[in-house]
Amino acid sequence: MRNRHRKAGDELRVSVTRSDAAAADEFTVPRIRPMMVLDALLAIQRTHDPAIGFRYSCRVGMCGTCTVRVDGRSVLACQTEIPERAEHIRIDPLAGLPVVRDLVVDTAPFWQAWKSITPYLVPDEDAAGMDATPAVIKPDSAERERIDPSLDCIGCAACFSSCGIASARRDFIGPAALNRAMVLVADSRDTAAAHRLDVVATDSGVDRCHYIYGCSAACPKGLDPAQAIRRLRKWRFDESR
Amino acid sequence: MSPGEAWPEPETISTDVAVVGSGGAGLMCVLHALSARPDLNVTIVSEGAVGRSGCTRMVQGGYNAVLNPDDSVDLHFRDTLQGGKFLNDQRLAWTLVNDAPRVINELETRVGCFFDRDEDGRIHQKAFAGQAFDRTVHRGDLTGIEIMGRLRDQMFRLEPVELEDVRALDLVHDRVGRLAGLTAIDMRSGRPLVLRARVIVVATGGSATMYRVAAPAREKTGDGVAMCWRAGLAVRDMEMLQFHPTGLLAGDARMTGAVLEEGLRGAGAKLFNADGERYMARYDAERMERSTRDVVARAGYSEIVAGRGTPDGGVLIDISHLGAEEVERRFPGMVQRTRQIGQDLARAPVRVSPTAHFHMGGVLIDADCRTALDGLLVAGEDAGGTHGANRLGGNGVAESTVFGARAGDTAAAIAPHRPLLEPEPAEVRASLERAYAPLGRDAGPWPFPLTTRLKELMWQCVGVVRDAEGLAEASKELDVLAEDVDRIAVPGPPEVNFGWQEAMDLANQVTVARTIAHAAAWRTETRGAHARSDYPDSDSRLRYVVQRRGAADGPVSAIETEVRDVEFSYRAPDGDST
Amino acid sequence: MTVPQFLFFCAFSVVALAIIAFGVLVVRTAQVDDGGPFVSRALLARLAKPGSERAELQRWAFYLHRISGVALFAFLCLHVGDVSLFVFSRELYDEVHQVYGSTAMRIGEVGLLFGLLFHAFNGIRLVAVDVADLGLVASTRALYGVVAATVLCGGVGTVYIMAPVIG
Ligand SMILES: Cc1cc2nc3c(=O)[nH]c(=O)nc-3n(C[C@H](O)[C@H](O)[C@H](O)COP(=O)(O)OP(=O)(O)OC[C@H]3O[C@@H](n4cnc5c(N)ncnc54)[C@H](O)[C@@H]3O)c2cc1C
Ligand code: FES
Repeated sequence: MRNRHRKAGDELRVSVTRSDAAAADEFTVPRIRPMMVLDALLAIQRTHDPAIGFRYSCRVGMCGTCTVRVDGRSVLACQTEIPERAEHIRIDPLAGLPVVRDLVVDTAPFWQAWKSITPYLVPDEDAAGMDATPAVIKPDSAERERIDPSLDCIGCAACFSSCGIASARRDFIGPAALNRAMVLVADSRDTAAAHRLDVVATDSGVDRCHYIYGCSAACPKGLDPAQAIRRLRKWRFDESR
Repeated sequence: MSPGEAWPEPETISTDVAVVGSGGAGLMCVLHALSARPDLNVTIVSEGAVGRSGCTRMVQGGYNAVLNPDDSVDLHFRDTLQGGKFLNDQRLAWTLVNDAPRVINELETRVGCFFDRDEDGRIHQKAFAGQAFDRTVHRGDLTGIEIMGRLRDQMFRLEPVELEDVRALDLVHDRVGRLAGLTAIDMRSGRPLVLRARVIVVATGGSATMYRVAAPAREKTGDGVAMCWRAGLAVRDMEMLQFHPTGLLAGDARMTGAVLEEGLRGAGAKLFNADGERYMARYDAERMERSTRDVVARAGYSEIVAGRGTPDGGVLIDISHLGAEEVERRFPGMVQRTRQIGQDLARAPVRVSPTAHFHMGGVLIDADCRTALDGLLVAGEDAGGTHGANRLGGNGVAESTVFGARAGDTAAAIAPHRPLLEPEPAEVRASLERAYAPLGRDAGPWPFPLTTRLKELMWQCVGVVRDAEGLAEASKELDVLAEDVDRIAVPGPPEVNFGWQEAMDLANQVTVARTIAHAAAWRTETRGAHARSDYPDSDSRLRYVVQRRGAADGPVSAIETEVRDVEFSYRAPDGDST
Repeated sequence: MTVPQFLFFCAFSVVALAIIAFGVLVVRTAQVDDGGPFVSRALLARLAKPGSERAELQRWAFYLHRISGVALFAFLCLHVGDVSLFVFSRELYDEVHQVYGSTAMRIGEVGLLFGLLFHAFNGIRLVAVDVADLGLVASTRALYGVVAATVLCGGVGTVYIMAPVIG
């Protein structure tokens, strides 16, 4: 193409799925090192098309708003390095969520599912407030050993998009929300476990999971939602827990 | 389209309390307003995703609060004033240290956060620079995710109206000048909104992104401060911009500026210049790398400017002497961050530079977040005064949650007594005209090169170390830039157009940048984060400058100033050794 | 070939086509979902990396499980039909069932055998995931086992099925 004489590895071809069929969807951007997928998108925005739609905020993997699919894989654009030898990458919006424009999706279905499991702590009213004392819970207690590795969800929806069930828009609460449900059910400060277990036992709950393991493989924070789902499947039959 | 205008007829929404920003301050405000008065209609206006934008989300270090009986709020107060070089508004600092423990209680027992525990099951508090007691509460090195994640969950309980991806533009008044509401743009559809509100809380989180190397989230472009500025409110301490000493350098990658946490220096990391010299010995021989943020940042900057930096303009931080395994165990997040950009903290020195981090300056408020304009509250990083000349690590989230909560209480108390007013159409039109102008122009510069110019200028002339000449040049250049920003043209549709958003960001950034440069030129001394190479000493008389927008219209408005003496309402500087 | 034989063969072909069509449908819908259109170098590169990347195989196990499930069900319907011919006439039954001995049918049967084996072993794997609490890596390993068992048993079965027409 245009710059055929340049050394391979000096530039990168990027295909982006656009919502407007008439808009350009192939771009060549200069290769920088290191280079994240976000850098490629910014280069397109800065030099080719200022109006290209994509989201980001923190650019250090903490806000969870920059999730896209790169060569089919749901990842955080800001944390995914473009492989040294890659000459071409393809970027799509997340699966299973309605596209607003270009790579920007409407995360409402994800949060709707999140909301359905009562995602907030339901404390004992007498033990809550600005003058209540925080609970004394040992860091090596069984409870914390279950919860702590499952806590740092950033709501990026990579798991939702990677789940073969949720991304196919079947009626499924999805991995992130079920992971949150597991955390709260395990939390001794919470009083709504029974209600949550009822919710996860419904048709759109844990039984929809087919153990595709897309969620645990995709989580950029290294959480294991599939494990949470396996636990919930057991706990709902087990009153004593 | 409305007749003759470049934008569709704005939709009008009425609400009791409009909260602008959904960081720590914004969401705590919603929590408190709706807990106090569940019958209120509260609306969140957030440019980024609700609870997932802004810097509270990015907090790694932790949250300062007095929980241990051996610690005391007096001690925390003293640390805060000493850190702030006694420039603090003492009423605000006093409120901060007193409320922080109660907010921690609330975050734990009501909001559902869970902070790291000691062996005995009580909240663990770690050491942070500049504090006489270990009082920093944290959740691993991802404290912000825990706080914001759980606050976001609370929103599903409280169910405020959420206007996500909606950017607030301007405060608007009624015919006789009372606060009536604000204008905004729904970024998804590109359509304008007019929000009528009894009370407005501004919490958009400051403006530290306007430097070449900067740490904060994308949205933090001084929108709130600029909004208040245009509405005629007073700001203070604008020259006080904190640089974190160790920001990553990743070439042109966007990761540049991301913070390497302070704990590294606490754990014994050493700083070297390109000649391999451990240069801190020349700046603070006693504390070396463990010196305060302002000193370490300035030292690094001076090395780089003096030509002793690496080719990409940095110095080197090295902690590999602890052994790779130990570093990996103690700083997993930081090691991962460096590996991502092809370096390895665990095994070799990593290139770092000071990075713009936090804006101490902001809108003048009282301890209940009230401003001079009735019905307008400001909380979080947008407000000025709490931290004085330098913020302690760990006091930032404390500020945003403490004052966010207070703003919520105040809003709940005053909203029922304030009428819903009718915004003056001419003001609404003027605001929208400014916002839509870049889309309407056929020719003009794109915003991106101008952003780069602004960041470079601020870095060079209003950066870590400043002098009269540079500041004068910055003022001149900023006026030129302001004119250029007024000519920006952005192609594309109004829907989800981040190029257009950047044009609007830039206008606000330049507005705030002008006040920073102006205040920095006024302060002819070195104090805290504000370092002047031509005035290296501190004055004995403590004063601050309050700035207000002057009469002139257009992009380059005049700046009115009023110099005030710092009031020592609780503690005088010589009451203790500094 | 007699008319009933021909009709049966046609029915079998329709079933086979339906199975193929379903397979195409699954893969096409998968193209909208994660991993879909990328049966490509990108995917192969991922599978080449050990560790969690290979868990991607389980997505393909899921697709295959569905396709084989539908295949078995469709064939079972046909099979219930041809067996029930016995109720009408023993001769007709025998006549139709000779078709099963033809080479083309045997090839189809080999396909069905592989589908059956995979579906059964993979089903056992999914039960094991719950019962033995298999995590990401363990269940990926179990999948290797499923594939190995399927190939092994399928291979033996293929010899049995094809022997009369080949040897
Ligand atoms: C990398 C990093 C690390 C930090 N670590 C620490 C730490 O360890 N300890 C500590 O105490 N402090 C730390 N801080 C400082 C602390 O994060 C801030 O002081 C605090 O979070 C500010 O909170 P806020 O609510 O005022 O603003 P933010 O949390 O920044 O929220 C701003 C909100 O405003 C919204 N917004 C912006 N513009 C508009 C607009 N025009 N219209 C509508 N909405 C808008 C944004 O979308 C966002 O939701 C850190 C800061 C950074 C950048
Ligand atoms: S931009 Fe925040 S996670 Fe990528």
